[in-house]
Amino acid sequence: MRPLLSIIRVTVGQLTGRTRLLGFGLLSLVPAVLFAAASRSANRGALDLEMGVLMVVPFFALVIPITTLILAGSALGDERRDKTLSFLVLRPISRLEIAAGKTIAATAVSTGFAIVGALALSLVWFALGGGIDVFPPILLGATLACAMYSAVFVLLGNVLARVTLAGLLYVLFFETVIVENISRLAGASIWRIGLGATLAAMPGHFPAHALLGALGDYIPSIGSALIVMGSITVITVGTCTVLLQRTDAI
Amino acid sequence: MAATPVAPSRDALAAPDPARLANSTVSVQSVSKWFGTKVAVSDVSCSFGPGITGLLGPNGAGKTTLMRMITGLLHPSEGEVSVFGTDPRRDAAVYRRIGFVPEDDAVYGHLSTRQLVRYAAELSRSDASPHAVDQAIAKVNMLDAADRPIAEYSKGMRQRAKVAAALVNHPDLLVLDEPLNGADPMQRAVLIGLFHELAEAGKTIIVSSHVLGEVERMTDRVIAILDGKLAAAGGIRAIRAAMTHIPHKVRIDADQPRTLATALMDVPAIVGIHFQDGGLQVETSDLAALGTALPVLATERSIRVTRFEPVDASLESVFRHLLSIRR
Repeated sequence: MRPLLSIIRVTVGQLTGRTRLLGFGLLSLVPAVLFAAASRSANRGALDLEMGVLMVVPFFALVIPITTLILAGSALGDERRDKTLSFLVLRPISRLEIAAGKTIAATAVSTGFAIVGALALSLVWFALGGGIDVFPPILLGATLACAMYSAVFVLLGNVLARVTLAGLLYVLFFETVIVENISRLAGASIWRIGLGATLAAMPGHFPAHALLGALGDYIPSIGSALIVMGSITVITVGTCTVLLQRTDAI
Repeated sequence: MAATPVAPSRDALAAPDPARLANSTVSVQSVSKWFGTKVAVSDVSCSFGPGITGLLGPNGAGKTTLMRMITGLLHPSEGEVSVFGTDPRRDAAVYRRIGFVPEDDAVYGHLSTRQLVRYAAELSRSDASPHAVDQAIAKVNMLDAADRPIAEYSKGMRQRAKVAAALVNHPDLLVLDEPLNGADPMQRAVLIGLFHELAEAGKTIIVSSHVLGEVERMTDRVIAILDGKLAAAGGIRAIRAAMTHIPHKVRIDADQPRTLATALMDVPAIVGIHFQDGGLQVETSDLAALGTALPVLATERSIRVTRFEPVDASLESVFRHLLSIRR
């Protein structure tokens, strides 16, 4: 257990340099700032809709994916680039501990930024006359999305030198353009699964149905989102564990 | 150091027996490694035991590849590597007993030395207490700078930080790839002293360096790799002595150098004599024959010999000879 915790601790430190903290911290606040700036309505239902739209577009579809793919991609990718991976693999620890430690650390850091963004959104909404009860659902969906993106991009960071570019292509082209036009592919869009969980958990006054269109053909429940998250994590961490056995490329 | 494998032809240089130790802790058996069509290491057999062994070879000779196979980072294309009787690629537990310092600048810049050493201890499941961490750092004389981020260090300090991290689990085998790179003379002296100390404590230390004089200060036993092949192994002087196809050069100072030169011309083993800086540089195919003949000739002619010194038994000379054979 101690090596796993050590890997998590050091990776969290690795991923939270001053520049990243500042950059991703500010990025997380963008949806809330947009929300505050754009909101002109005193009507509660309209506010819910505004928040939903603003949350969907910048927060779930851009802020969470971009933040997480960069952080997760560098969790193992930076070790490969800096040739520090030998420091980890030449130890009496399993490759599973390395893969799991990196994934947990990336999830924790990206979720930290997501908490900042979700809290800011909720507080703005609260300040404009809404309730704070939207925060837990947003946080739930954001955490699920962070965990899934982390699992995928830690693995890709281990095998691709240009993981950020690959990630941006996935987020900006596949998830945004392709899935937008071919809605039956929605199940392959990570942020939509997170958003689905958020909408499923929203309080009754929140007009979740108005946002279901953004999800495409796949509208997950909280349970199915959790199952998808668990499956993705098991598959990617398992694959990463196997690939880490091949140290010839280190 | 008794055995030397060096022989006249390049192929004959690869005689494996002198590369073997009876008390080996690391065994490399007929190991080859190729990357695509490039052969990095070709059929190398050797072993390493307690004490320091210098791994020599020019850039690209295959030293780092061999070291990486010993640590288990690389899988041999052919042959077997055994460390403490086990294959490190199949038994991760053996890493409790191995410390590795890679050549490249592979280090976590955001950590301090203290954090790096603690991390290494925790990953190795060994004592990560502040006392144990400080002990390892003190060995490389870095306690003063232990809390600064490694990114701010000079290359020599980074090397020492890596050595401290490799030492914290008290490994029985240390594999050090160019550990003195970038270190200033003071730092080199500290590290070389440390390696001697560890060797005396019975640790197996494999060290590569391109600075031959430093290897010579560290150890008498060397494994020389050229073009991926084992070129020579054993003691430096013994290797040189076995290079009978290359005349030995001996510096001889005497009060009557010309008389001595004339007398030496009659010794069959002498192949050349040059006057140099008031003395003689004698080339002989048989160092022992010269050593026997010289006192006799000097006594007969009342010549006072003030210096008799083989000048090409240094590691650098031996290595230069090996390289000339390669060419």
